[in-house]
Amino acid sequence: MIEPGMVLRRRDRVVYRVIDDEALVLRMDDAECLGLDEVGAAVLDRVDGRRPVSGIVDQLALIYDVERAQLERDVCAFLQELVDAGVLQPAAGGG
Amino acid sequence: MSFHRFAGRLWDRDVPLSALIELTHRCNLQCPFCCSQPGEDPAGTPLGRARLLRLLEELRALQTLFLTLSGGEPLLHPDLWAVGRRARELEFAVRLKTNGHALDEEVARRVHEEIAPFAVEISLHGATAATHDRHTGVPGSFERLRHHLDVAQRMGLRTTLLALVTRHNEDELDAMRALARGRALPLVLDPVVTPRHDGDPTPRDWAPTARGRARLRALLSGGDAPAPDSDEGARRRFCGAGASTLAVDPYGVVSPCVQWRTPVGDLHEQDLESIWRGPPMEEIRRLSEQARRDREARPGTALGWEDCPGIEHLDGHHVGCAGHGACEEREIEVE
Repeated sequence: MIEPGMVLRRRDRVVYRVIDDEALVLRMDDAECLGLDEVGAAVLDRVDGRRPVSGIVDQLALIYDVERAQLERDVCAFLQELVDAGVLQPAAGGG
Repeated sequence: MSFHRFAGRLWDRDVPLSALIELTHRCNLQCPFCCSQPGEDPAGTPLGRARLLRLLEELRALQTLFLTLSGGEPLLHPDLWAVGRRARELEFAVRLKTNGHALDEEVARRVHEEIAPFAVEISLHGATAATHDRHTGVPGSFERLRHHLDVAQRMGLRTTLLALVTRHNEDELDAMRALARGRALPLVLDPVVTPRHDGDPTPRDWAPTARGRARLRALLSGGDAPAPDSDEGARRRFCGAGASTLAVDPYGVVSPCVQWRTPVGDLHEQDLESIWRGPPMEEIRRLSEQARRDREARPGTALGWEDCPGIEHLDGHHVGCAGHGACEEREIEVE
């Protein structure tokens, strides 16, 4: 379960590109690709292994006109999906 | 969203998702059907290390993800390691396209540790020593390849076998598949023996026979072809050449695709973005749209097996294209 205080990072050998606001994510070890829409790309692009989830939400709140609590729930749920998909993992020492 | 759908959409959006750099045309094998001229061109000025490294930065800025390091034989190029390490830092998905002849224990270890490639693509020319060695012109190359495949697999390198289908190995397609399956390796079969980059048609003497091509079609239709793409009908270009792919030769000449060698720029004189957005590449895209319209005017034609504009450019004939208009994508699916 992703919490606002957690810090996440991309797994090793997961690379991506943001193209026209969409993201193509590649897990190199099994050649699995994942396409993300504009919002998904915006979230992934802010996962840097240092910034907590709450910080990502803060940044997205400046872009998207969504009530903050709802935005936080949506972002946490989406990040959990990326963890489950083998794209992200908790950063060491980051909660 | 599937990779094919995402990549296919890029055909119309002019983002070079895939790039191929031929580091050198030198090679340690002597395949008579190779599309590269053997050895270096004395009239050409190879790209130096600094320009190669700057090229990586330019590709990164253009959002390239898949970077193929090819040749000739890329393992012979002294800057492979510097280029590979920088490519890793820039988070490219690096494909190393090699004949495997130099991929001994020490080299494989360096590839694994320094480049950490997405894939190592190794050429296979037959299922027997007699056939493979006939293709490479080097006795013992098959046994050496088998040993180096052992090394690569033991090292954990994600390895794919690439087999160019010729009239001299077309009877071993099933055996090559069995060899690949026995090692749990994907095998990509390519039926297109192209003329040399300078138009010399000699390699076409090795092209598969009609029977061999029919056998290959049967194999591909048996499950190795890419999955159908629901967006396919909406695309306006023949393929991704010059639209989602580009190629760079050892001398800095940029072309839309390794199979479509029309020069569109020179990295000694131009930056990559200028080339990518310049009029010659725009003309390539126009031709690609025309090629698609031409093909669609012939209902019933199998998608992607005819009329590759690049090969037409090389030899003036229509021949089968292995790419299904998605050459750079197949290795991901054929596993």
